[in-house]
Amino acid sequence: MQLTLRIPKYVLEQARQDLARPHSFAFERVGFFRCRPTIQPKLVVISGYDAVPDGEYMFDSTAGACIGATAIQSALQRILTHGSGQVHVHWHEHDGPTGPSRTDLRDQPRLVQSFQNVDETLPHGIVILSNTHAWGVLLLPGTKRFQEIKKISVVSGGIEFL
Amino acid sequence: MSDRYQRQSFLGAGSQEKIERAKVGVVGIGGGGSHIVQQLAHIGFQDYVLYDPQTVEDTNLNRLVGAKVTDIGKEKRMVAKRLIKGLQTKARILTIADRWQNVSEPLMFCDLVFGCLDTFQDRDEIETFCRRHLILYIDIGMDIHEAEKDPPRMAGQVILSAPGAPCMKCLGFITPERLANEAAKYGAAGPHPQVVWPNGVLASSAVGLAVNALTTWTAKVSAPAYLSYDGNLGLVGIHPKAEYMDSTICEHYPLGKVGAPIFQLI
Repeated sequence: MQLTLRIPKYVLEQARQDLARPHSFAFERVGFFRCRPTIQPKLVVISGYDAVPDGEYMFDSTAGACIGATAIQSALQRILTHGSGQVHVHWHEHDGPTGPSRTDLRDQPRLVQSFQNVDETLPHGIVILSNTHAWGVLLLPGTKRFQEIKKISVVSGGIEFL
Repeated sequence: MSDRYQRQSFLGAGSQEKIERAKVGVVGIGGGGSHIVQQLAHIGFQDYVLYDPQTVEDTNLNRLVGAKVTDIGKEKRMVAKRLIKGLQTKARILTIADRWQNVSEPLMFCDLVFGCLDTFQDRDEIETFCRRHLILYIDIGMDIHEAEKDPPRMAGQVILSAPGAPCMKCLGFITPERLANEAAKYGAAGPHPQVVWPNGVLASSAVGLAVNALTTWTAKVSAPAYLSYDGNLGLVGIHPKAEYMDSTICEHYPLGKVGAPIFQLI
């Protein structure tokens, strides 16, 4: 079975709307999907989206967006409060397939590993959206290596594959 | 797009790729499910999970699409597999001769599931499963009711149940009364009355909903869809309950309640 992530369209639209808003100094926005495991580790489902409030961004000229300790603590707390994994999400504004930048690869895996330190029974990960596609990796329960998501589908009354 | 699908190119650019990428589950490949499987194979679906624990009996041959007299005693899943392979030689087909509840993991990975089930209990369970795993579920079913002085009434339904949208309980199709009463009798014209033509109508409607959900060729995708079939008049229409729903929000399956259930000590 291939690693699959399913996102309700409503939640994806919520994320896109938030991520598209300009910030006073950050070049881009980031957010967090809440995710839940299923009894099959290779299937993970998204259950919600949490935006990072404007005041929790920090100025950093070397990154599109840099979030502070409060935003990260909030994500860590959601793991404990809601029993949901955290998937860091941001948007590359172009059409077609997308992937991580060097900065994404430098910073985000460490953040996700800290999520796993809070609850290693939940999946956590990174998703990058483009206008038409998405790329993502997950740190699955009981594993220390990121695995690339092979199928990301968006579900409403219809089905889209990103 | 290969020449084979030229006549369905109106479905839109990239539609065949979407169809080929989708994994479909069909639970119950008897009268209704066999029609569905046949149509999916014609359309070009490549990835199947099929459930049916039964073997072909003489009494199935009035409606089991693809079955031959020589198939009596063989498993229905093998008939379905042969049907698909006859049209899609490279199709990936997982067949399971068991109830889906006993081997549910393959069903989780399906993008959409067709339920051709006999009981409301089964429908209720599979809808709950699909909601938890964010799977589009399409239910078909028919029944024949005997009236005292009038001819028997043939009726059926096709319901598309999508995560976040009103469910079969919201639509009034699954009710506590039906769940409680169904064990006593199934239809009034005998046990499991089934004939081939209403199954064909219902399966075609269901496959139409599925193709639209994937390709959005009508430019209109909405959930739920609740179609009712009047077999005496030969009409399929939108069920009044779907037309006049009070709410578009499902209270039975909130979107936040997905994935494995959480158990908390209190």
